[in-house]
Amino acid sequence: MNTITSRADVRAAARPRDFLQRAAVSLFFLIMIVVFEIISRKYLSLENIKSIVTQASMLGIIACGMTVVMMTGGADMSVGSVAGLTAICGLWFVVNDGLPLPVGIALGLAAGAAIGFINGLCVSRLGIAPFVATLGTMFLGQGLQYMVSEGGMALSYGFPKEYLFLGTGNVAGVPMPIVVFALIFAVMLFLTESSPVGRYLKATGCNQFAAELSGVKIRKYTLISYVLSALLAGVLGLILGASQQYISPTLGDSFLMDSLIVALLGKALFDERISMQGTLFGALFLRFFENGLSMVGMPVTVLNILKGALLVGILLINLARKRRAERRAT
Amino acid sequence: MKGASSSRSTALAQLDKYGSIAAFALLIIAFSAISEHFRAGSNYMNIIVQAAPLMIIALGVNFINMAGESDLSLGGVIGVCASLFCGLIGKGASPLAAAAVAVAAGLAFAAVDGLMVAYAGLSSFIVTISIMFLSMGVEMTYSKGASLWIRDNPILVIVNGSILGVPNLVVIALALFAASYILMHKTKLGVHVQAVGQSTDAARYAGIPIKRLKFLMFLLGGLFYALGGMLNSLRSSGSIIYSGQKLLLPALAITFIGKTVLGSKKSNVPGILVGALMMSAINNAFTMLGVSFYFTTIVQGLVLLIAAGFSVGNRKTILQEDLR
Amino acid sequence: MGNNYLLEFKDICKRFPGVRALSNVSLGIRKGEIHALMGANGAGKSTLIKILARVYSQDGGEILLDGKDISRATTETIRDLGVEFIFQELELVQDFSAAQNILIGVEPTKGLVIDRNRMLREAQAAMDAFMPETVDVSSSVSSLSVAKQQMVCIVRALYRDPKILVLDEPTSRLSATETEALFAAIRRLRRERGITVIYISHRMEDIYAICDRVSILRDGEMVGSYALEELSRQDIVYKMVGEDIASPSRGRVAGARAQEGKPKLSVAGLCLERHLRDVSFDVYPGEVFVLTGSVGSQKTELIESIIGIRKADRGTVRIDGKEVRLQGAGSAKSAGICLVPEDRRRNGVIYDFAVRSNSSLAFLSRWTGALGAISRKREKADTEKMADFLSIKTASVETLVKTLSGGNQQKVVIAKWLLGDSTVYFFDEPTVGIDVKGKSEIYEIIKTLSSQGKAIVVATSDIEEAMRIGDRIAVMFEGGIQGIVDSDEADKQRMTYLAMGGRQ
Repeated sequence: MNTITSRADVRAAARPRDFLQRAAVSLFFLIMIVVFEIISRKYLSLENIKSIVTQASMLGIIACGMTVVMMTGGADMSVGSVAGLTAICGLWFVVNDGLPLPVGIALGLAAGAAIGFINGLCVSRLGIAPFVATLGTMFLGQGLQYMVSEGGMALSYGFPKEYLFLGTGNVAGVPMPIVVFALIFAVMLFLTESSPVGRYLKATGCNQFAAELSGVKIRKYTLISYVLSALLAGVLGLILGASQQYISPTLGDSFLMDSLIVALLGKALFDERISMQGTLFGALFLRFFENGLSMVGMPVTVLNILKGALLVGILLINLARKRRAERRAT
Repeated sequence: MKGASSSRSTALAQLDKYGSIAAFALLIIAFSAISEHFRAGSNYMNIIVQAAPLMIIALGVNFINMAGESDLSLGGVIGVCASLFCGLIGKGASPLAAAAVAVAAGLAFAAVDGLMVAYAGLSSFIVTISIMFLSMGVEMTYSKGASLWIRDNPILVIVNGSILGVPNLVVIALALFAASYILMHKTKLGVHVQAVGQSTDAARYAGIPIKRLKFLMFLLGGLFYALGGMLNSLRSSGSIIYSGQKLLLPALAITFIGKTVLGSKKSNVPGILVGALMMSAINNAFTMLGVSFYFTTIVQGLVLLIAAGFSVGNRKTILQEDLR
Repeated sequence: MGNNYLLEFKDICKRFPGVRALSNVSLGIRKGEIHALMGANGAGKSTLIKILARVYSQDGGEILLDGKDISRATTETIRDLGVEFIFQELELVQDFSAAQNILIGVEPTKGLVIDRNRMLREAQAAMDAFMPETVDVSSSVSSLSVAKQQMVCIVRALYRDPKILVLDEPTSRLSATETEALFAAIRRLRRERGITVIYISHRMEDIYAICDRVSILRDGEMVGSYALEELSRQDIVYKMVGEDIASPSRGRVAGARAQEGKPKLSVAGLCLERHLRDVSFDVYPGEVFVLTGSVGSQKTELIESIIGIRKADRGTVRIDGKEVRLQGAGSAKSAGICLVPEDRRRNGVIYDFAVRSNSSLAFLSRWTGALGAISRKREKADTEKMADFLSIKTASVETLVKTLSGGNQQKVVIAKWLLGDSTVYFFDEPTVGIDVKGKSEIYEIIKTLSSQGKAIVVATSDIEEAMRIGDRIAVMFEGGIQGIVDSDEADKQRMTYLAMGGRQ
């Protein structure tokens, strides 16, 4: 009874609307870039583009973690806090007490992973809502940052050269953050699209009952997603600290909102589902958008309000789409 | 399941029911034993006074929780209300006018939350987080990051004065508590909201207007946020940027502690009183013990997690958000 | 007109896409009578009641209440018209007291606040009028037994002073004494309030104990309405089941297998408080063993206890003679056992996944290479082959499962397990909501599996289906096996009788 024909048929049957939509959104992206360039004339300079893509890469690293957690049906409010915690744990003893850098980095990442583990445990075993659990660890992490930094003292000098390379160095002319993100993105893309782990994560997020009855260890994979998110947040923290050459307890806070926006943006405009590719698109889109707006003179405060409104708008788009799909089904 | 194991289950039931109150009592005793500053008579009154604004805010969230929804935007909304209030007074407006504007702002944000959650049916977590970001942006834009002080203003009598020996703040807080208690536990409206929060099917059977009641609870929450935020800023003689956000965690922790009081595992008004006193006592004890400020944050985070853990009814399913 | 029907169904017709309908069902309920509605599973009882409850609307025909057409009523307004329903799902607020639940929505007030004393008094009065000295209405509902919670639901409905009370399987959770008390209460209700009751049940003894008249449905058609005193139990079963008692093996998929060799699956003495009492049976390789029974027979709970989704209190499960302690679908999978669960939409398929990824989910390692990547090419090829084998109607394996029909969705669930190497298959209500053609395709699949030597257990409330595909059939009633019958000797009437609680 099968009528499987050519590959084109298959692709068309599967997702016809997606292609049109991506085309439309890409067009909008292009138009936006053109408009900004016309207004500011410095937008498309090599320097600026490199800067934007570097920023987008850093956002992309932490947003990939958020994406994984969202795939399992949760959210991670602690990512900003974990980024800061990893940076401060990683470098405090290195800068002040001469701890070798690799040990410091391992320590920092371990601290972040511990937070992720707590998150995962609370959600997968204790039945606590993801937003609540990660909110608790967000504050926990903030307090810990102050504790390690003895009340909030910032690190602004004395960083090892090798560490600074992470944030400010180049590999064959490409800034380190972009290189690191490229590697991470490749791994995460593989994980979510080509490996069984990705399948199990998505299955858990889409229907935990069917997944569990198919033998998928839903609690294990939920836990893994939170630990992964924390690790990636930690990597971002380290890179950010190196790039700014400044680590203080508020490092990474702004990335929470941005990573939420970016993952959902990917779903709303690019892929109709939470995905790594969507997040990549979202990160680029957001940073190009922000940079353009600041180039034409929009104050930061207004920009932040806009981003908040953007998030609200994305939710409404998703809702409208769901309603349309439901109506089409009945 | 009966017979032999029943004595064990009654012990657990007792722990469930009185555990939080016992923990609270233990905390007070322990702190009093450790710190002489803590057990000074005037300090106990301090704890109560400091609990007042926080309790009002927690009562606000509690309305929304009792209707079965969550609200994470309270920090940002409080920030907007407080900075509007202080800023307008600083520019010479009458306190009443400034208060009216602040309340209006609180209600406005609450209305947006309410429309999206109650009527559009979106997930309350993500919606209120979005409003949180939005309102924080508004606060920053309005205050430009500056602290807005209120000095030498007659309105300060509210926080400095007292009636019959009881500080005004406490009187106001208790009055609001009593009103909330009567509303949510004694009137038809309150009982209906409880039904909505606990069993949508039963509420539908009874013909209760679910969407309207949820929206109403969001509005009430917004009102209490404005009130609590204004009183809090009066106590600090002004509004510091993002000071509202610092209240998010303690307020949420209070609501979870409230759920564990008397073993109900459901949101309720009396529990908020216990929770507010507990959080205030912990804060106060840490100050008296000379503990660094960040320990408070750490402990608050832990308290939130522990209280949330204890207030879960069903651990069989993993809670998920409909974000995909 | 001249008849004294309070409620009348006239020529009700209802079609679902390809599934059982109601054809020209007409029946009348007289005022003040206790009227039973009976029929085999799928006969249309619940569809008829759902039409009355306005959950569905009929395709043809009318419903008259007191002579007036009520077809335009909705689920809310039907209750304003005086019809109250007590379904299986108890929609109570667990943390409220019984009194609060009974008066929910219509609480008495004193000024602004609820008059708690009056509420307790009125609720207790209502409860005592129904069943004296049973429930203290001030107690929290969560502290009440399920039986008492059901009483609260009934009193809640009665408080609204209905003309008609519809009871759907009300005694499925009650003990014998509780059932007697319920019946006494219903008789009193009828005496004192003149209330009319529609009583849906599959329990023979209940019907005879409490009802005046009975209407019997079969295959979506009315067989007739009769006074119970003129009908014997045999008559009822005969009318429910139909004329064709001959050839019980008619339409059977294969001859009954002799039990060769050692059992593949052995269940002994399985007990689960409030659900299973001492269940034991063996399933041989290549055998199709059917569990049949009506609502409340605990077929699903039995399967869940074997697989370990529920923990049994006592009893053993053996595979190939060796005892196993299964802890859920995952450990069962490793032991070679798989489950095609009830409610495929919730438990079986992942709606947003494609046919391919749904099918490969249980044994994904089969297509995972050494480097940890899934070979999409091989996965697609194998799932396509399986989809072909099972005749899953879809343009390609890339289509999302949510777009498939119920029958095809069920086949995807089956495909998922066929792509592995399980030796024991559990099917829980595999053909619910699937059209006739789809059903027979699934029967063929089961037959093929059995011919491959797999041990198969199928749970179904459809006795005809049981007889068609089973080699041996265990009739369950309220958590226990009433009897195990060889399909060659199976007699539909006898099995229906057993499923209704009759003694062997």
